[in-house]
Amino acid sequence: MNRRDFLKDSAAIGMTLAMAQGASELLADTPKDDAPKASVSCAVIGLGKQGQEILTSLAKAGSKPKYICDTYTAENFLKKSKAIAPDAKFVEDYKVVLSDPAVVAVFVATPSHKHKQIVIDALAAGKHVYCEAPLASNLEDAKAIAKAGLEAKTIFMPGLQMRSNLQNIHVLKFVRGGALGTVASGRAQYHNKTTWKQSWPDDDRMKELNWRLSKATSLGLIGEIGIHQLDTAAWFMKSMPVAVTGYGGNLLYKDGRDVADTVNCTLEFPNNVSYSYDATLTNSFDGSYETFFGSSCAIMLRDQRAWMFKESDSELLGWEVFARKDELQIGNPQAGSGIKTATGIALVADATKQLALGKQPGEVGTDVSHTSLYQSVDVFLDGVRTGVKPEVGAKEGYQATVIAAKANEAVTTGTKITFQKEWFEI
Amino acid sequence: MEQFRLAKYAMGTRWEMVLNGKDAAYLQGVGEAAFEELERLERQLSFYREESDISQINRHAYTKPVVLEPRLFALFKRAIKLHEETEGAFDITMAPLLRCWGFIEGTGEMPSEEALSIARAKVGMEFLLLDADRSTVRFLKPDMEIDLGAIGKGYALDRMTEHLQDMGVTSALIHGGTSSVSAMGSSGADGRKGWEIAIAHPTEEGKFLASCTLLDNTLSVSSPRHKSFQHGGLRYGHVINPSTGEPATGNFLAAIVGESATEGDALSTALLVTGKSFLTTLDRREGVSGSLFLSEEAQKFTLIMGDHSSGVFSDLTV
Repeated sequence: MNRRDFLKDSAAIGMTLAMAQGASELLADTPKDDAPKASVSCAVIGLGKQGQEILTSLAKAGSKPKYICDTYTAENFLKKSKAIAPDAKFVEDYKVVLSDPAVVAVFVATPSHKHKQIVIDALAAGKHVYCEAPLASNLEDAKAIAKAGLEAKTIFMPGLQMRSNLQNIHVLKFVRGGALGTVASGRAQYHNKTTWKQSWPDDDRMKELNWRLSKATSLGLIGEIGIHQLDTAAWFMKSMPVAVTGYGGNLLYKDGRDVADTVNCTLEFPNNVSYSYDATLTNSFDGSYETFFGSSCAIMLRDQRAWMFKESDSELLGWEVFARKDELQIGNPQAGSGIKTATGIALVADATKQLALGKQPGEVGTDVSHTSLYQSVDVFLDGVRTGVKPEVGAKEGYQATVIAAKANEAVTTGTKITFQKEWFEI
Repeated sequence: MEQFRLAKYAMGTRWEMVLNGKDAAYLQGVGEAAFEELERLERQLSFYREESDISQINRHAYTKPVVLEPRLFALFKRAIKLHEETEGAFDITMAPLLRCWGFIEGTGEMPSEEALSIARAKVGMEFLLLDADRSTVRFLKPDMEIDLGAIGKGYALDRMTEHLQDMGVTSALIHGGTSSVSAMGSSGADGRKGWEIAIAHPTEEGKFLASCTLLDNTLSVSSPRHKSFQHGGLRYGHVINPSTGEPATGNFLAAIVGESATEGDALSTALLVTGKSFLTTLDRREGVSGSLFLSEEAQKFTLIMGDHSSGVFSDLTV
């Protein structure tokens, strides 16, 4: 920023004090700015909650969308998106977005069952496409999307946001490097106390908003939420599951929905490794996390952080004596109330780099301020800028959707489903 | 008429919501969405959560400009405006001083003069630079810290109230820790208009200082009492006067009734910092309908209302 810009902005926000006290001189003393990344001309299609989250990530990433698009035009709906993207033009028809050559990338955040045509049309129009996960609410649509994504010359990236999270990528190195020892099992959960139901003054709109509560349009709790946690298992295990068993039911919300509010499933991976998952909308205890268990240690991913809980008889890795240790405890054991259940070694994404810079282990920390969604959006935008396809693409998006859809089928039918290899092929 | 009640723990306190309407299931969905907005704002505004936008700003804003999403940028602009309108009494850069006085991690302790001097140098809204073109914030001094805690609850309350209005709710009460309250329409009790609210006495358990009726407006109460310590016969609370860098002693409670909870929170803090002289400023301020100030000197409490407050507060007891 030069002095002229500073004066202009100071006036705009009434910061005359800053100039009076020599702020421009102070500004000259501050570290030099990094060059900001180039803004990507893009559009967000679908302005519900996920669309708004994508808009927020775009704003923080410094990319201003040219269009925001939705078929619902009521002002009390649109105003939230307009507040996040005040410079974007609102359009009702996504084809207007696709016909604008200035738009190079689109984010598809409509309900899952409405992804297909928009994604296929966008790729056909030569746009780079980010499509929320699951790819679709049925495998036929998902395959059509994935096929178009594979064949496209542009980037197609599914919103498997856990795979873009630098913390998870860092932990993956430990897992793939054998730090777990003999991998035995995994466990994940999503616990939240919410009806999952959206209210709206207009009945038709309210019905449309609650597409997740109907089997006809939704893969249920396991497909819409669990997909990310099940995909993390497949990603970390580096293999597709061989079978899934499941069960679930609607235990609390007797409001006409036909999707379960509480689900459990167990994925079986090669070598009899199991991964159990439970999700409920009836109770919020202990929130959401993923854990992997091996003969040497357990690794937990939680709230964009990760810890390793070592077995006493496991070999020293060397670095862990310097690493930060965090207690897993209930209450305050030091004060005599509560118990300490375990001591975790923090797996910090930039620890090696920071230590190399001469920082003490206690000072090392990860910048966890960016959500998985932000990092996923950022990876996509970088791909658009550079033309290099991200590591997560159509194949991963389709395979994750297959796992989620079959897990949902196992839950709704209460059966064991054996995966056929060809199910994962596009 | 049906009623639905929800509660949630957020921003370090318990929030409650009472919604009246024709359909309890509908009200539950509306209330849950309002609480989702509260959770989003806590994730964004928390001073204590290292993943929040505020923590990111505090970590990086001296070494590089930090991009703010437009709603947060607008809130920063509003905080700067409120700083100017309160002649500096409301200040979002006070965290280093609060830390120095021991109020960030505990209930306070007397700092050394040297520590106080170092902390004072890290404070000042004039060292906060917003760039409207790039939507960024930058610190002009190292080790500055922003804390929007003084208006965070009020801002969340305004956003939640707006959501209820958009969803057609006409009768509701929301509060965050009883210190920030928003009321819409009538409570439906005894055919009365509005919602009857009592303001608790800051030092005497079970005693009320005053009551007021809220009807489509908000109440913000600031009191340093719950986070304070005694030293040399004086009680030092967690509300610090930016001009001195020291807690405003003797000022016990400030309450504002007005249209905006965001402004109410900032103005009640400013009233607590400035003292009774600020009441005349509040008398002239658009959007504020009532103000109340409790001070203590030589163990004697004095309760004063702003001139514009007649009919707003009742049952005043010291």
